Amino acid sequence: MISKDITIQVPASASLQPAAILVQVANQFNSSVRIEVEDKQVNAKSLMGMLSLTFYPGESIKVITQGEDETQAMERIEHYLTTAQKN
Amino acid sequence: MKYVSNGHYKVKLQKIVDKFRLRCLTRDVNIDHIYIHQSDINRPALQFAGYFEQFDYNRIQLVGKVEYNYLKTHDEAYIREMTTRIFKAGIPCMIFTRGQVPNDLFIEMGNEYGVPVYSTPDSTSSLLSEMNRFLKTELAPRVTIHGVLVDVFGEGVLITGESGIGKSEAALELVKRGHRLVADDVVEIRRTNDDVLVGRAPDVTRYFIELRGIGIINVKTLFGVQSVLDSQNISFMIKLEEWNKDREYDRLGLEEKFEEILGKEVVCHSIPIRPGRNLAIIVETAAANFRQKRMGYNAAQELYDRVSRQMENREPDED
Repeated sequence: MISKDITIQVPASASLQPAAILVQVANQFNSSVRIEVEDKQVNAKSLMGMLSLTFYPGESIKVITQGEDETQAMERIEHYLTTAQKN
Repeated sequence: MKYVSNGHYKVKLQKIVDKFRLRCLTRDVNIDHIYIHQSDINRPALQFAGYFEQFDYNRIQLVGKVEYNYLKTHDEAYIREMTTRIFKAGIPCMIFTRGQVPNDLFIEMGNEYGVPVYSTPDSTSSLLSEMNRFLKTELAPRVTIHGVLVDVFGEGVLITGESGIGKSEAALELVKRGHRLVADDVVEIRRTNDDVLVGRAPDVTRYFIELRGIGIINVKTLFGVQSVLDSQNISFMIKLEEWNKDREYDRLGLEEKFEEILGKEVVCHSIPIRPGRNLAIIVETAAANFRQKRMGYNAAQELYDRVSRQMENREPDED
């Protein structure tokens, strides 16, 4: 299991697209991917789960991956979350 | 797997004031930073009598007629001394019930120590129990589970399983069969007392289901108000799994398996998925069977009894 605090750069969770992309990224891996914001932890492979969280660019969220490809999963998710997206 | 709550919770005093319409007597005290962490409420009778051992100063202090009348039997100096000790201890607030208007001293102390003082026309014991119930819900241990919660024949069925295994499809089919959706994908569960786990959807995703390939649908607008429910107590769990031929699945249902949610054991059926299995009818039957067991009839037990009787009737002298 890997757990990491990541400061996010993607646009606010209020827009649907970034959350949908993150869910797609998480679904490419067999490992379980969970995201924790304040006292709430959700499955990052679930769109509804991601949309029920509130976070803004510049805030830190905790990402937890667990499974055979946990390292790659963490890398890809960190890459997505920390690379500012245009449009 | 154990589902545990992370952390303990607090509720803003302002929320309690609004909910119970408490009348503020200390206008100058700022309550923005005051939170309640305890669901219990203290009636400070013993403290008025001068006994301060094990004083629950972090609880809301509720002063009823008895306490206040008792205090009034003492002289001004005594009242001042006890009140100072109570306020100095760091109580979150003090509430006078039955419309009592406290001595100016309480207002003075409240302003001095930054402790708000309130008055309410409500009676002491009913306010105490209502407030206790409210705080228990607000401060209840909670956890968010990845799953679907559906009301089936009045039983809250929590369906869990890996992403993409068909939880939402099962929920949709159940809704089409006349059952009610509580939450899809994200279920917020609170343990409001020892026996009850209450599940609901986060406000943002309430009534929505995500169907892979179709997108988001709103069950309430699509199928009507009769197809949704805001919250439901969890009766049992169904865990959907890929069919694994090396795994033993329950054939009889004589023994029950449990999962622990917030420290409470919940009956859990593991159901193997194969193409063509009608999930909705399995969930429906499980719910009906759960009800029947609770009403005192256990089909597996009866089958067991019949088999035992059959054994007894066939005595060994036969060839």
